[in-house]
Amino acid sequence: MNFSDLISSHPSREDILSRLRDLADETGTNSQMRQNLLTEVRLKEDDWAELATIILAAPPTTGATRSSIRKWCLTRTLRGGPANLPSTVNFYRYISFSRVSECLAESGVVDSEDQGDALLFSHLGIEPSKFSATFRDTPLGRFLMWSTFGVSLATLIGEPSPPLEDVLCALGLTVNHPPYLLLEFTMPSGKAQIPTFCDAYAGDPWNRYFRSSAIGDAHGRTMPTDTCKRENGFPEVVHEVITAATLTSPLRYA
Amino acid sequence: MTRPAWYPLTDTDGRAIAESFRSLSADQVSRWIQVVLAGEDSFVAAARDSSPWNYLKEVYHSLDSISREVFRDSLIILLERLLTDGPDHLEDAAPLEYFFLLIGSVFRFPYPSTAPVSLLRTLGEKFVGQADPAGKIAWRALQALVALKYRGDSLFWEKLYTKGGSSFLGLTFSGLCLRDVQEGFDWLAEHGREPGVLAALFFRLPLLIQENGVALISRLLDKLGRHLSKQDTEELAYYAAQLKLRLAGDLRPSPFYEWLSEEVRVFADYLDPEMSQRHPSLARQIEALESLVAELHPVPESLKNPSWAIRVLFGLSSSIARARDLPQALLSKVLFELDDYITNAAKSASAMELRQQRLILLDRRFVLFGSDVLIAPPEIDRAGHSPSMFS
Repeated sequence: MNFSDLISSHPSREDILSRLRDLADETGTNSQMRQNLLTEVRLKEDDWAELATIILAAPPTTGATRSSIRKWCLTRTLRGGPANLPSTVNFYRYISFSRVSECLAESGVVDSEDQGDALLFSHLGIEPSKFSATFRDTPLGRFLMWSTFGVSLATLIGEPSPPLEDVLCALGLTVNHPPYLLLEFTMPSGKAQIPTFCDAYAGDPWNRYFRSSAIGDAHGRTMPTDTCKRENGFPEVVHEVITAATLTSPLRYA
Repeated sequence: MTRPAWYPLTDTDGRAIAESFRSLSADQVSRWIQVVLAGEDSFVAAARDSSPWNYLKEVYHSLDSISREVFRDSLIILLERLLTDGPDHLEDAAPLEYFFLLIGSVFRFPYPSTAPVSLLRTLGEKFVGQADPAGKIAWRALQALVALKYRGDSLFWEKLYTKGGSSFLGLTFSGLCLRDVQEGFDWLAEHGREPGVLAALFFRLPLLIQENGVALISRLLDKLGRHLSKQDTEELAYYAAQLKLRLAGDLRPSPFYEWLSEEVRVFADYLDPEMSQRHPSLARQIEALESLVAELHPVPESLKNPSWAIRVLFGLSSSIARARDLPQALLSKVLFELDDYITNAAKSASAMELRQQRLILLDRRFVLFGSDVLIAPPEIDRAGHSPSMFS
């Protein structure tokens, strides 16, 4: 059962749909969110029933509706089930250098973005096997992480390397704060999950370019931006934040 | 549904329009900031892992000087409210870490300000040692002070550590180092056998090296090593060797390195509140930058290892990239000289490495100027193809 099925017989159906419509009218991102909400198939009936209650309990403003959905999602991340992957697979993740510094400051690893910049910069190009024990435990993000896999490295950074914009747009991202880092890493089997609605909308801000996967999909698939030439996107999974110890190649610029 | 009157106008992506802040009061902006931090605002970010405080930073930078003052005042209002009302209402409404990181970032632009310092100090002193969320406020307030490069007296930092306990070890070390790096290391040596001392040092070491130079930090590390456990000493030695390798390559420190470090410090001091107070004239700071430009061109003869010098330049370019409000013509000049400098240095360094460094500078230049590119566009493409660089 999906959310659409649940509310079809809900006594407050019109109220719920009206609130979602108001939210969707605000931005394209919210509109995409509503579409994903109505088509997500990997969450349970109880979950949907609780969401309906939470939406109705919130004050009737778009901000409150948005916040209630986000907070509900926060308690239901990483529930899409393990992605069906080959036994050995390398994962790739693009993230802006400055954003990693911010994450380090947010999680209290460093005191400021300056410290984060200097820490990261001093580790660029170093083989992961040579990381000191302290750095190996350093988280390279916050909350959840999204990554791609199953694409050849040549696609991402081949010679000549494709323009960064071309790769990021296929991942549903735009070049916002260059330079970017390309993280290459491994994870134990079962850690990589199929992304769900809740993984996409537990964070803030919401990303416009996400679409829920269908029943039977082995993994998620990125949603390219509107102007992207790579229309098919890349395979996609979501997982817990990795530490530097899982890197299989040096930290490097994308 | 209509938005309240205190809400700024937004574009089709839900992003606040800078001009609309002109009609808002500080109190109104403070309400809007809380809404954004609480995740109730539907702004669209380009990056999936952006954050509300990152967005607020971007909005702040897009404002004119008058609206920025209002924005800053609104943050002061929230700080005062936090002091009066305690943590409950803000903790519930907005993640504290976002709020304080925003303070630490915003009050550095367009010039360092001491406006929030006394409030941050008071928050730290009032809530330190209490259970969360109050305890968290104290920690984040001190983090913001460090981000603002506040040079408090040593008694202030040490008292907070005594009350706050081991989670304040790294912050206290940072705070003391801002005042006097030697004092910071001496203090850490006194706590050398406590758990967490290595992490406190480890994560701060690269910036300390960038700001104080390899020679001084190496001396201080040698001294500190005697006070650490055997295991910590071994890991520190390993890491220090790694950092030295990264910073100095296989060459001995040269007079050029010392000179360059000093220039970086001059620039860093420009951003520092106390230095700014001591030298209130912006012209004076600009003079320092201009002399840096003059020194960089032509490339000093003493330069022996360009790849490592460029790492230092990266630190410099980071500072420049953060100083968005310096006169653009001057920034343009500095960046142009750096670019020229790197091109010259490229003749004897690893092509791949230099290519990366150069691309960073170019990227930063774009970040800096946005659509108003005042200087010539780079002659290489993103893939680094440049007949003039590595031929």
